[in-house]
Amino acid sequence: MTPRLPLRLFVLLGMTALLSACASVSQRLPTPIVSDESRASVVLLALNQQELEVDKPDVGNGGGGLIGALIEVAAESYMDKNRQKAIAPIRDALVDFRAEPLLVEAVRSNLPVNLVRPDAEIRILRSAKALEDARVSLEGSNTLLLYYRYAFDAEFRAIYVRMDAHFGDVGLVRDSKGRAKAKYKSTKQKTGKIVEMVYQSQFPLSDPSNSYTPNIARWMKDGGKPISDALSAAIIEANALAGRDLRSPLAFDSNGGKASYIRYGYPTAMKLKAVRIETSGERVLFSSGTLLAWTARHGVQ
Amino acid sequence: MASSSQRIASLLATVLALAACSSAPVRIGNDAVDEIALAANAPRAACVRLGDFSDHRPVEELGTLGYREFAYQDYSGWLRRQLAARMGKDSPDAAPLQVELLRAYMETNRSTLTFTVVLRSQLGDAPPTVHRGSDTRVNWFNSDSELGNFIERASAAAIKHLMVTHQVGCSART
Repeated sequence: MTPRLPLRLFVLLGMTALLSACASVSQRLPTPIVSDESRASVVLLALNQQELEVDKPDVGNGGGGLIGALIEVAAESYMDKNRQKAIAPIRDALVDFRAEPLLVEAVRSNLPVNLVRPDAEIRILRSAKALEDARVSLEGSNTLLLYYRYAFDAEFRAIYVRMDAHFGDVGLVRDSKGRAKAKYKSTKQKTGKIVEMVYQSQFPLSDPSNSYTPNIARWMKDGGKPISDALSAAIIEANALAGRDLRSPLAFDSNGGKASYIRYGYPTAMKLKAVRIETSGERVLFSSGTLLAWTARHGVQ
Repeated sequence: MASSSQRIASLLATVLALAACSSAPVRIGNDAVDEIALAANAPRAACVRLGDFSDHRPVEELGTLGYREFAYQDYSGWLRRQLAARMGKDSPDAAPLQVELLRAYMETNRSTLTFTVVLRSQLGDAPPTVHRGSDTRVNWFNSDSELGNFIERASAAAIKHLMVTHQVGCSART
């Protein structure tokens, strides 16, 4: 039986909407307007790691079907084991390196005081449950929520710090069954109430190999000093970028010109056509959608 | 476009994740992790005895799987007993070995889980040594006993490294 025209039309419209949603780059929402009294008094810092991590390798396609899925699981397990083994000497070299106090200090010294009180409490949350409870308790008030990750990419080509920043009423509300739900979900609902940005600082090797073993050897020069240097710098740079942009959103247009940048991070490193915002010495700041990231000049293709 | 194997992998991951949907914290008990105490071939370091044992972990919880928090309250005590059982006891010749527990945590991937234990030991004025044990494999059921096995294997690897390091030291001193 041939479907009637309106049905076909609806299917076509639905598919078009779905496909355009997949293709779009998320756009920045306006920063909520906040009075001095309604500034955030709490910063939630979601941190679910205890040591420097390495991104999980992309295992690709196992070949289809249940067998293929099991092959992918096996490949992921094998490659993950290799990465864990590879990062062990790096972690040993950094065993006394404490990222957390650095993070807290960097957050404190870069607070966007137009949005957050200078004496705001900085609360570290290590589990999804603790974060959920905190967000429920803060419902109705402005809060700065920062999700952190510091890691190597899967091939040890770069070290990066990524912060997903959410500011506004990021509280959760519980339904009648006690389940926590976001108060504002859609872009329309969030507009004017929540701003969401991603800030990243990445330090790629100047001459990375396609194999991770020589890359690790480069990082491990001088007992791993390049790693602690890059990690410290990335923590400071990412936080300074967030503070600066949240205080006064960085204007970006295509004047800086578009170029290819590699954005390192989970689930995989990705080449982006992005806008250059500014350069500072060997560092380049680029933007793509809601991402603002510093990288090395040699990281620009 | 996702391949059928990617879809099935996603389905498997979802099923595995749903198994962890309960938010009740998991309390690992000593019964879940006492097997390595019985391992007959575990290395020993008889020329040292356990001196100060200190727990310097930044967090006591072992980590989370989805919304489930994993905790093993007696982990530090269990580890100390495992170490003491493998060293020379009350021997006047045995030198005291200082041991610090620096980390014990898990990391999760889509289908795999890694448990890591980091120790540091120091004998007298000698430079300290870091001992790391980790176990990475597919996480099937999120059960207490499965988690306990991860903790056992990672702890056993760290303990083995520590014992082998000091066995060598023992040989050098005799």
